[in-house]
Amino acid sequence: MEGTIIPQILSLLSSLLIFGLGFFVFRKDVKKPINILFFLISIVFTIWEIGTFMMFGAKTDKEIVFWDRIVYLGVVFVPVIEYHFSLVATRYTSKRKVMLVIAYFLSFIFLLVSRTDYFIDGVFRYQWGAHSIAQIGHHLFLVYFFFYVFALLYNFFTEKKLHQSMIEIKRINYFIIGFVFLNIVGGVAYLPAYSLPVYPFALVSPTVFALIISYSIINYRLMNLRIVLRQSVVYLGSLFITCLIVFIFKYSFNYFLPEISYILDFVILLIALVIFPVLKRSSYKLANRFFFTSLYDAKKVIAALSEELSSTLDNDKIFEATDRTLSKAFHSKGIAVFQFNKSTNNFDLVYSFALSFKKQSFRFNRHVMNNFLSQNNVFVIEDLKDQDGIKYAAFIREYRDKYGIDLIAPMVLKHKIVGFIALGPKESGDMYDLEDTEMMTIVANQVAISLENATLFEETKNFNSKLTKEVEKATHDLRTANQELKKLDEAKSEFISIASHQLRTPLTVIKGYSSMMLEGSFGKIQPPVISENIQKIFESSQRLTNLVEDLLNISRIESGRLTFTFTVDDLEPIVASVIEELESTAKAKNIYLKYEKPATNLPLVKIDKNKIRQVIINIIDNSIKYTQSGGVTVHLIEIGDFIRFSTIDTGMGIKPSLLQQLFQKFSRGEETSVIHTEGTGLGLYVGKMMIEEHGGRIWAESAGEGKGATFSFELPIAKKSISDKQVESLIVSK
Amino acid sequence: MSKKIVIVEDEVFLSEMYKMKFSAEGYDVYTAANGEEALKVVKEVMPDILLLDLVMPKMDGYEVLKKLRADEKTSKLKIYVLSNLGQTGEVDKGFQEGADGYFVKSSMTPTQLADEVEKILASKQL
Repeated sequence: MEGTIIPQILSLLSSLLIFGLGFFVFRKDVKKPINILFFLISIVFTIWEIGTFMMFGAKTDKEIVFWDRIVYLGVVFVPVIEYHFSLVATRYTSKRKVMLVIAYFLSFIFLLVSRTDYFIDGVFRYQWGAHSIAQIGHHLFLVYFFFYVFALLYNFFTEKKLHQSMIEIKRINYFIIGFVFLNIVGGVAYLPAYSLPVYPFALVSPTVFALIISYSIINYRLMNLRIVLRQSVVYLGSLFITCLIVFIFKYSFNYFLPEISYILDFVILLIALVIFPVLKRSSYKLANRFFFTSLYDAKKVIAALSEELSSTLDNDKIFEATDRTLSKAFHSKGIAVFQFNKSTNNFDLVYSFALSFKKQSFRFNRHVMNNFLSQNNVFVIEDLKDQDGIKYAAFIREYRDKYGIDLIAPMVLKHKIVGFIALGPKESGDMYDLEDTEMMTIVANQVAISLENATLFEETKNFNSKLTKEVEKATHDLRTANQELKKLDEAKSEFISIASHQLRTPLTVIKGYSSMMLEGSFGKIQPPVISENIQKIFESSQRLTNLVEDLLNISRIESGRLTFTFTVDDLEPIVASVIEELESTAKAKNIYLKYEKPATNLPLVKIDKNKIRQVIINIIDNSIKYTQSGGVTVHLIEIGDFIRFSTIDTGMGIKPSLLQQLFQKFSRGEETSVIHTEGTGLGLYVGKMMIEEHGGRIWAESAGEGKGATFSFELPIAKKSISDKQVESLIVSK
Repeated sequence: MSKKIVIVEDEVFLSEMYKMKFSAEGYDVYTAANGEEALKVVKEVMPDILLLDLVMPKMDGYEVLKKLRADEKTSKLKIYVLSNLGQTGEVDKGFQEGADGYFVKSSMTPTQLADEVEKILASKQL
C-alpha cells in the first residue's frame, strides 16, 4: 500500500524522538518521580509508534492483529500512567490515591482482555493504513480511558487555582495543553477501530506532547525549548546526512562493483561511525551560527559592560550601565542592586529599576546566604524549590512572589560577599537558562570589582580632602602664630629702640659733662686726681655708648632687619677719626696707640660708613682693653683687591684653641673675665656680621698667651672702571 | 654779630649742657623744650641753625621739621636733627622730612658737636 509510507516514516521518527526525549529527561534525574513517569509515558508511546509502524507495513490480517495487540500492550497503560503523572505533578489526596490504585487494576485487567478476541477482532483497511476492529472490551476501555483523561485534567485545573506564582501557573498550563493535545489528537487514532478512516496524524501527538512536557518538567534552565530543539535538529540532521552518504556509497558500489559488496557493508558502517560525530560537531556549530544564535552574544555583552564600567568610578553610573546592558541582553522586567552592609550584616538596596521594595534593608535566609551568596552561585529562585522546598519556602515567597525577583547573582570579592544583583523575569516569559546564569556570574563579578574601585576612589578622595583640611588648618595655625610672632618681634624692636634711646639720654649727659670738665669748660680741676677719675667716667661712658650700639645691632641682625646704606668711600679718614677718639683712652692706660698711615691714597671701598666705623672702634677698643703695657699699632694697607685693616697689640695674647671661638656670640677670652668685666662679648660677633655683609673677612692671629694678638679685616676695593650704574646699564643693554 | 642757634631739647640736663657749650663758643643760644615751643621760638628768632630733638612732648621733631619746611620763611633754614634715635629707618625719615643732617647725641661730646656746627656755618658763609 503506497499510502502508508508517509505515516510509517512519521511513526518511526516519532518513536525515535519520544524515546529520546523520555530517556533524556529520565537521565537528568533518575530519582525524581515525575521524570520516571515521563519516561514511562514515552516508553508506552514508543511501543504504540513502533507497533503502528509494523502494523502499517503488515501484509496479512493475522500480522495486523498481532501488531495491533503489541500496540495495545502500551496503550492499555496510557490512562493510568497519565493519571499517575498528574498526581505527581499536582498532589496526592487519599481519594485520588484510591482512583490511582483502581486505574492500575483496570489497566492490568485490560492488558489481559486485550489479548483476547473480546477486545479486538478482524481488520479494517483504509487508504493510509490498517487497524483491527474494536470489540466490547475496547468499548469499555475507551470509557475507562476518557474518564481518567478528564480526571487528570480536573487535577490540573484544581491545582492551578491553588497557585499564585506566574511560573507555577504557566507550568500547569503547559501540562494541560500537553495532555489535552495528546488525548484529543491521539484519541483520533481510535477511530479506525470503529471503521472510520482518518489520516493517521494522531501519530504526531506524542511527539508534540513530549516536547511540551519535557520542557515544563525539566529544570527549565538546564533544558529550555530552544536548546532541546537545537540539539534534536542537529542530531537528526547529522543522522540524516550520514544515512544519505551511506546509501549513496552502497548504491554506487552495488552498481559498479557488485562483486565486493559483501565486505562493503562493513566498510560503510565504519565510515558512518567515523563521520557521524564529526558531522554532528560541525553541524552544531553551523546551526549555532545561522539558526539558533542566542538573543544576545554573551561575549559582546560582557565586553561592552567592561568598557562602560572601566570608564567610571561613580556608583550610580555603574548601576545604570549594568541595568542598560542587562536589559538589552535579557529584556528583564526589572533589576535591583544590593550592597552588603558590614556593620548591620544586611543587604542595602542601592539601585532598582521597575522592581519595588517596601524597605531598604534586607536580611537573608541563612541557607540562601551559605549555599548561594557566599559560594558565589548565581541562582534562579524557582530552582530553590527543587533543592529543599521547606528551607527556602519563606525566602521564595518573599523574593519571588512578593518582589518579583527571578534570578539572584551574588557579587563576591576576595571570598567576601559584597552584594548581589537581582533580576526580574524576562519579558518573553522564558526562564533564565544556563547561558544566562554563566554570563551573570561574570557580570556580577565585574560589577563587584567596579564598585570596589569606586569605593576605594571615594575613600582616597575623602582622605585627600581630609588631608587638605588638615593642611589648611595647620597653615592657618602657622599663619596665626607667625602673625603673633611678627607682632612680638615688632614689639621687641620697638622696645629696643625705646630702651636704647632712653639709655642714651643719660649717657649723653654723663659723657657730655665729663668731657666738658676734662676740657676745662668749668675751670681747672684741682687736685689732678679728680681729673683722672673724671677721665675714667668719660671713658666708661664712651664704652657704654658703644655697647648700646652693639646691642642695637645684634637685635637688628637677629631679626634680619639690619639694613645697610652703602656709599663708595675712603676708609682712611674713618680710621683716623676713631684713632683720635680713642687716643685719650690709650693715654689714660699709659699705652701707646700708633697709626701707621698708608703712604699713598688708598683705593675707595663700598661701605656703610657708620657700621664700619663701629667695627673699627670695637677692634681698637678691644686691643686697648686687653693690653696692659706696650701698645697698639694700627695698619691700613692695600693687598691685592682688598684693603686690609689690622691692629697689632702687645697684650695678653690668645690661646690657639680659642682663636676660632672669638667671633661667636657672647664669647670672650676664657680668663679675661677675671680681669676685665666690661666686655659684653658682642663686639667681635657684630664685627664679623658687618664685615661679611660687606663681602670681606675678619680674623685674629696670636703667637700664644702673653705674646700679643693681631686682629684684621679686609674689604674688597670698589671697582673703579665700572660703577654700579654702568653695570646696570650694561645688563639692560644686553 | 654772633650766630644765633636754637636748641630744641626736652631733657633739662642736656638742654643746659648744650646751652652752656654753645654760649661758651660765643653763640646766641635759644632753647625750646617741646615742638610747639620750638616753632614759636624759631619764628621769633630766625636762627642761623636749628638743632632739633625728635622725641619730645606735645609735638615730635618730625612734625616740627615738616611744618618748618612747609613754611616759606623757614624752608631754607639749616635744620640738624640731634637725637638719640639712631636706627637707619629713623635717620632716613629725618632726611625725608627735610633735615640737613643727623647727629646721634650719645656718639659725640658737646665739643665735637660744636666743631661740627662751626664747620656747617663756616661752609654756609663760603
